[in-house]
Amino acid sequence: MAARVATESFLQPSVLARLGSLELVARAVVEGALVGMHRSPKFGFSQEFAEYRAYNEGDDLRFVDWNVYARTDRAYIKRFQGDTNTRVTVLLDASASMNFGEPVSKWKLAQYLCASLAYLVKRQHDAFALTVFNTDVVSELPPSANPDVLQRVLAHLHAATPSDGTDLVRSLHTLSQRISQRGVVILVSDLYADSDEIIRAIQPLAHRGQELIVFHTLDREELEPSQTRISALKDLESDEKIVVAPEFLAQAYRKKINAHCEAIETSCQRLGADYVRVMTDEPLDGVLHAYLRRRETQPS
Amino acid sequence: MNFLFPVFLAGLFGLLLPWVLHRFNRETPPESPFPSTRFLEATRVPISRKKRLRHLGLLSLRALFLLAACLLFAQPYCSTDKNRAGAQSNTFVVIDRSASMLAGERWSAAVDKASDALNASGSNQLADASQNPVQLFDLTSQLTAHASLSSNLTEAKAALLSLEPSYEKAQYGLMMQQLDALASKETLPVDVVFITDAQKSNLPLQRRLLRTQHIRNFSIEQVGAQEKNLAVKGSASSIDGVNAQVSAQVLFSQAADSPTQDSDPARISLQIGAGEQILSTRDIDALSNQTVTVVVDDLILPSAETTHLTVRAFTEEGDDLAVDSIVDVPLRNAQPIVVGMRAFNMKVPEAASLFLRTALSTDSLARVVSLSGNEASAATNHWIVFVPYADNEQIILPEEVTQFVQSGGNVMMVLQPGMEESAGTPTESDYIGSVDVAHPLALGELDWQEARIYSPMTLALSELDRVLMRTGQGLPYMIERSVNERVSAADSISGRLLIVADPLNGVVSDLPLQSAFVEWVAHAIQWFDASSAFPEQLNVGDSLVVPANAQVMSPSQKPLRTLAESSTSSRLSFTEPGIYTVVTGSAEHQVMVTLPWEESNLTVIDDDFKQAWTLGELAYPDSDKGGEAELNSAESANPSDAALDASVPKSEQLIRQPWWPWLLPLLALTLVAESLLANRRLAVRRDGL
Repeated sequence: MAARVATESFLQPSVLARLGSLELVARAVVEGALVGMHRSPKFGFSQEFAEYRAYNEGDDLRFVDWNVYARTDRAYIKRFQGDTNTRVTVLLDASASMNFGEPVSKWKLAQYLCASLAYLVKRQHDAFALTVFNTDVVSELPPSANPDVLQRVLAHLHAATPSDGTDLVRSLHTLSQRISQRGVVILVSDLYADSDEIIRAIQPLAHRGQELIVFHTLDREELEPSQTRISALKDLESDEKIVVAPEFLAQAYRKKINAHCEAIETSCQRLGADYVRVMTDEPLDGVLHAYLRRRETQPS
Repeated sequence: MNFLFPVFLAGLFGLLLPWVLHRFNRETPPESPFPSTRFLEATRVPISRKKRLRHLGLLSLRALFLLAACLLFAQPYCSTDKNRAGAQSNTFVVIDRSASMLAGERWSAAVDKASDALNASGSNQLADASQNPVQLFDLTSQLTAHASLSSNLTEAKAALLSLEPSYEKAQYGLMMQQLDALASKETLPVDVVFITDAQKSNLPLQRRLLRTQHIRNFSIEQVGAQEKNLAVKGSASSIDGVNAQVSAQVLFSQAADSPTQDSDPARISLQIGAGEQILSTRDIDALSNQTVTVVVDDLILPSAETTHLTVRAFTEEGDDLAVDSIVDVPLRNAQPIVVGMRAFNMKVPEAASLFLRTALSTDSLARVVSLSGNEASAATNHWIVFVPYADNEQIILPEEVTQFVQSGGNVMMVLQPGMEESAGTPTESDYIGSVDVAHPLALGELDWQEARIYSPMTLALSELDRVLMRTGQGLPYMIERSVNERVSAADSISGRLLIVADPLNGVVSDLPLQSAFVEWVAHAIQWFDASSAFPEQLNVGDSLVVPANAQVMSPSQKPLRTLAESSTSSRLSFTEPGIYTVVTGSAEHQVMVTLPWEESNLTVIDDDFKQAWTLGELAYPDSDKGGEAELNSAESANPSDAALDASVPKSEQLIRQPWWPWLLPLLALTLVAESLLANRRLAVRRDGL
């Protein structure tokens, strides 16, 4: 019941679009997403408990878990995964196909999402990095935990413009070379590439211990085209025109696009990555809330 | 329903256009953006889709619009019987007053018929209407209205009785157009009764001029069909004042002409006399409607003072129009043009004088007389003067030359350089570079290529000069100077002044040695002579521009202009045949005014053509064979034109009720409805359907 109430209070995309300021959007989205959630300094992105190790001579006594010692009469040292904050790297797809959608475009939605994530990361004092790419890396904001990181991210988002095509494989390959420190890698894209190639591209990141989250931005028109007559559909990235019948769009095309989405989702699950579908006509804070709640409840 | 212009019905084929557009949909599918075509497969688009009509309401509106537009252009009308309609009408009664109506009893018969027409038209046959408005016109060269359009016939009848035949010719085409224009201004239908002798020679060459649009009923009341006429005209000339030559044209015509090869020629006597004395008589045979030319060149004039000869033709066949069978012909002087030659402030140069005299005497064109300062009289209208000139100085005209030109004389002024300028060297020879081909002197027709100018003179031009020739270096070589600005009376006629920048001595240039020189001098003198010449012969009805300070004397030697009128230039029309005398300050000119030759030919229009004319079913092509007016019967007509005209059956005495007052709002309504409907269906508009 509480969840339903929260859902109803989520901000519709059209409302977000009217807010204008990206910072305001981010603040509204994040604060809305956190409503009803448990207070936690860490929302699972960093400083996770790693393991117990038998106490050796010379170990710092401050790390001895005295509770375990009281129960077992043995001294164990409690170890964590890292000593510093986690680095969150957002990979934002700025291809021309992102400039599609109603009531807000996928690009606008991705901007809101990035800004919200940056705001969220800033709240927990983690480092945030942003990389914009299309056929190759377009621009890059190095990881930073400075208080002004949010402003820099917002400025970066403002400066970026969707254009050209998408080369996910090439861009992710380049990025995987650069990201050496383990952290969270968030991919925001409409994922217009072969699903196998996408998986092959993000696989190195997963194998290097990066925690992967894939935000798949989609418009309803992409999933369920509304054309009722023969139309020439023009590819936003390549300007190629294909004349298609409405019957094809109503049946075969939907099967294909759904199969593509499912294939990516399945592959992400196999790699241990989170797959989140973000629709342009759904409240962004609702999507974020649902994902964070799921993440909070799922075993680490 | 009939159509004024059924040819526009061809536009109904345009109805196929919306049908095709609605049947064949646009093949280019609408374009819309899509994020990626990765999962799309091209669909095979059929070349033509299912053939079914779409948007039937819109199609109907568009078809209706085109239909209304075509009908509007075709101008449909309903024909309503006059009696059923019970509408009043205007009646125009036109009486032919041309010269041919003088023949026999034609005029009296015409007046009777006109009177009958006035009475018949004025009383409406309908029960409830009393009188129809009637207007009387007479036809000469123009249509002239008498009295006003009124139901009261008194004024029209009085005007009819006051009319007399004129000596002018009638023009049927012009009359029909004028009647049509008058009828177009009337609210009631217009009926026309035309009382005429229906002369074939009065028909226009362009038969379409007989066609009208606004006359409901056109009828011809013909008078005279059996008259015969003998007409003569001619010219006479004398070289020496003792012997004379007469050239006469004789025409014998019959109203009911049926030219056959077997018809016998008429025996005609041609008599030439001077006053009471008969100089010569010739008998000739002439076929009907054939003009015979007779030249009599062995005439001995009774005295040197004979000014005109009388040419008379008569025949035993009969002549119902006597006015054109006797004509006074002015005796023209065929002597060479007299050109005076003199020099100012110098002696007449021998070489130039010799060259000019030789050129002028060629072909007996002109006779040169030397003039001294005191005898610059009216003996001639043309002078050649020699005036000394120094380079680059203003050309100063001697006062006598100025006065002479202002009084209508013509002067060729040959400039004579001083001794130092005349010594040219052949190495500096120039040539004729450009000539004014637009000038009536026709300099462009002459061959100037061989002419060389060794010492060209440098003229100082004024604003009144028109350069007719330039040398290769651009120096003016021959100019025409206007003296109009110096004339006080604007209407005065001044002569021509030609200035030659060459002494014509054969030293400064070799122009006098060229063959072009003789032709050029001849052109110049002929151009001079034409400036003061009046036409020798005019027709009755023609007009002449009479210069100021000139009087015109009628054949009975009565002045035709008052003293006030003769002080200015004016146009004078001649209404009677005869020899008129134009008296100017320097000379008298005789102008022979004759009856129009067309009026002398009494041949009438055949019945087929007349019927076609009255029914508005005229068929033509227009005649373009040198004025030979050929009649074409309806049967030999151009089919398209015949069909076009046959759509207006005037013979049925019908009233046209045009449809355009209904068609025009319908057109506008369909246009508005189409726009509203098509705009409501934006998809239709976008697809261009």
